[in-house]
Amino acid sequence: MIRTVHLSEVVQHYGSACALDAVSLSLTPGVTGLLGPNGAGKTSLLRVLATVQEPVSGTVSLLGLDASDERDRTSIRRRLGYVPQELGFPRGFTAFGFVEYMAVLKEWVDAERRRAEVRRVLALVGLGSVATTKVTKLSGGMRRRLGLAQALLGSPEMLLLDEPTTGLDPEQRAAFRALLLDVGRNATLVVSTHQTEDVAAVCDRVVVLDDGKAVFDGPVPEFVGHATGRVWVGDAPDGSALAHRRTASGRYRHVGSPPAGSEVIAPDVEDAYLLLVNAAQEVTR
Amino acid sequence: MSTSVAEPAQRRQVLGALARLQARRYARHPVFVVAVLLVLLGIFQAVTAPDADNGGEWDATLSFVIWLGLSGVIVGYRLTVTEDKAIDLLPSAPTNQAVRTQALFIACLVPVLATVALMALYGLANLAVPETSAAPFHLRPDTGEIGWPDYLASVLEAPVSAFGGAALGVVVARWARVTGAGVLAVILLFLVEVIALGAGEGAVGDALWARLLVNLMPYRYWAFQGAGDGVYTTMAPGSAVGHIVYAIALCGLAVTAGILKGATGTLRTSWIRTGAILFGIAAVSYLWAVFG
Repeated sequence: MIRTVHLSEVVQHYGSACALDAVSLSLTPGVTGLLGPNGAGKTSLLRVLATVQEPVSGTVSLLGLDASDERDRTSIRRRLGYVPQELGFPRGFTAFGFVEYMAVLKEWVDAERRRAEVRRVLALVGLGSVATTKVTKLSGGMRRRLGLAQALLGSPEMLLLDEPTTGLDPEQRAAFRALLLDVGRNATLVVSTHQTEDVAAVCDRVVVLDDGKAVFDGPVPEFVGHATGRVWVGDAPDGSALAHRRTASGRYRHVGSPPAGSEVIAPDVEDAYLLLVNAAQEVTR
Repeated sequence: MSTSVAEPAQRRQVLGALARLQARRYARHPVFVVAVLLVLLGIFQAVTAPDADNGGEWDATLSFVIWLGLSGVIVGYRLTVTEDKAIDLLPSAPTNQAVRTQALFIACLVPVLATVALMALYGLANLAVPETSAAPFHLRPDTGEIGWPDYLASVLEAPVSAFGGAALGVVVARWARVTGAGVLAVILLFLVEVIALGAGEGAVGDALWARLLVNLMPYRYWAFQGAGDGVYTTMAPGSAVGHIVYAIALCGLAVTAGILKGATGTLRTSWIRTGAILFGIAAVSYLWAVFG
């Protein structure tokens, strides 16, 4: 499999705060989920991958090109799509106008082809009917989809999405996941998210960041497998658990070391994530 | 992470497409639309009800500068600032900030074209109503009140200021990331211009300090009330041609300053060199304007 992303010992600082602490990573085409608590470094990592931010040290190779080289960086940008966490929109644009503006910045200079491409990506995210609506009149979910539309321009080889499902209703989220699965067939797709269901639904692989370090990097089944035998249910919260949460049935799902005689169940991505992050924080404490 | 390495031909095409898009944004901006309407109102009023206290004359250049030049600061500033709302996204595109800034400066030609068109309209309206025949400037070359070079330079003050105002807005937005910086720039520019133009008026205008001050401004008018009777009959001392060269050099310096923000490498070096040349031209033409 072709390695499309390769990071080696990447370090990123904001003043004295360390956002990325010697992160090394190799990704291949497919969907990779990026999980981690707030401030773990997910957005910093995506910004480095999007060539928006240069790391303090370490090497970044994207699509076989060196991201520290100016000429290569421009070539990378021609082949990537990016949706930042906080996407602001220039004032006065319609949905079509904004995506067309981004298309120009992505060097779609032929007006006819550009407009056809803008129509295609708007239709892809289900915004074809609001193309002439001002961005300010769109709902939060529609704006998220508009952000995705601009990222899909030209069917990029690498797609970086920072919390793309925030603000989407369940129906939109389902449609969104279907779209990501489709896009992920031919591209390297990195999705930062707090929604572990997203990872379970669309990702082939998961990277967990905690305190700027990659604490897990591997296939989703392997990630979930780490929690096998470590998840149990009970009728009440159990203080011995690393973490617990109430389920729809009203019972409590626990992760950690199951007490004797407890009802052990099959783990999911959220269990594995809670186990990993809480165990890491336990060690830190 | 911001300099351009795109192929020149492609970069020119991107710049052209981006400039057209920004020009449309400029032309549709409410502040610009209102400014054009106010100028049209001024033209209508000047043609239909000439100002008797002012010898029936209406200095169109001053009106254009006030409405299209000053409003341009706001429009240029807003276009730049609102584009930067997508600042987390824009650096991931292959087109860098230098090209985006150049496109904004090209869009600043919209008020220039509007000024030229409205001046032409005013001129045509005056042909229809000959008694208001000062258009677009108080002094007339055909009657010997002013030479053609000075006349053209005086008239050019308006379109050059229209560009300069909008370009100043872009520069302020690029360099001063403070809320309200655009409005503050307009107020400061207006106050400084009013003080300087006031100093350049009448007998005071003969003083060297007044000439030094008024010619330092990006816009100045040249019709002079020599006898203080409210009628503009003479040219102020100095060179109008020198001043228009100075004003154009200032516009060039504004473009340079805007593009330099965020530029690195060879782009930065070449624009610093351009800026140094423009600064030299501005200095020489300023002295020409004062002493010419």
